[in-house]
Amino acid sequence: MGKPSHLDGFYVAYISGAAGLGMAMFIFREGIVVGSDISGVSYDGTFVASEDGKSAHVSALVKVPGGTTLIQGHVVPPEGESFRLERIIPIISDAPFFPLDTPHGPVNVRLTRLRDL
Amino acid sequence: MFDFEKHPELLPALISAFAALLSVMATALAAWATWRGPSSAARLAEELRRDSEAKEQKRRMKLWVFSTLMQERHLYNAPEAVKAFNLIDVVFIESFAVREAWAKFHEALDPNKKATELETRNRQRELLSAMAKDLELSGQLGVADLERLYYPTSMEEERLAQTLYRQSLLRQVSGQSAPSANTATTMSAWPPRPGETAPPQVPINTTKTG
Repeated sequence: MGKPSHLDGFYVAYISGAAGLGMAMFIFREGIVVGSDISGVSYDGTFVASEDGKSAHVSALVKVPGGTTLIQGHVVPPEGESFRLERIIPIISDAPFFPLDTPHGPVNVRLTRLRDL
Repeated sequence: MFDFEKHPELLPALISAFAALLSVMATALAAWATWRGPSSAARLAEELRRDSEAKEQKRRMKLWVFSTLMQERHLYNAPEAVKAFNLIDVVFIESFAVREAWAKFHEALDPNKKATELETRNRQRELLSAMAKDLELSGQLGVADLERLYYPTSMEEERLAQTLYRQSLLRQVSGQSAPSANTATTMSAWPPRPGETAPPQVPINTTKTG
């Protein structure tokens, strides 16, 4: 566990891909980020706030259940998939959304903070 | 031929026999008429009843079409109004005036014909008048009666909300649910799909905290 951060809190992400829409919930707490979305994808990893406190360097293991069709259009094989996602995510921003590249294609994400812990 | 001059005493008997025969025939005819009469009357009554019921049924259908169009005269595309419009040619098949008025109103509803609002309203009123006349109500219904309409604002707002919801649903089903502009709208929380619009420039500090 890391140090408490002003980024700690509950978040919801609205995600648009080429083939559909998704929604995920996340908790950022003391350097740990955990989340899940409506198709059963789980996110488990760590984060470090940027120097200006507006972004988070995230390193998360993403696990996708077998048979899922991702919003990017990719169909996950029956045995499921997992991959590591390492990105810098803008947490505090005036922009209405930000683009995110994933191994299966780009998505747009609108991240909204729901409340503090 | 029987010779009555040789046997004059038989004439009365013969006349009597003939009269008896006529009497039998009359009795038989009366019996037949007595048997036949009620069944004919019953058949006639049944035919009259069937005709009357058919006429009544026809009138009820006409009244349903007319009353539905009167109730929905502010909304041509209401589901019940659409059903009623599509029944006019069948229900008023014997009334050329009604079907003619319907054809003219239908023409005014065609967006390609670009009829004005006033012209459309006038043709609608002519259709309703023709129906009222066919139903023998025209003596009791005037132009003012057809023009007078009660449609509260709350119903109009309800209809508008349903229209907006239906449009939103259509957009979602056809894959156009995300807003295309770089702004959030009350109708969708999702950002646009990749490629629909250029992503905003988000300054990112790549330096981590200690």
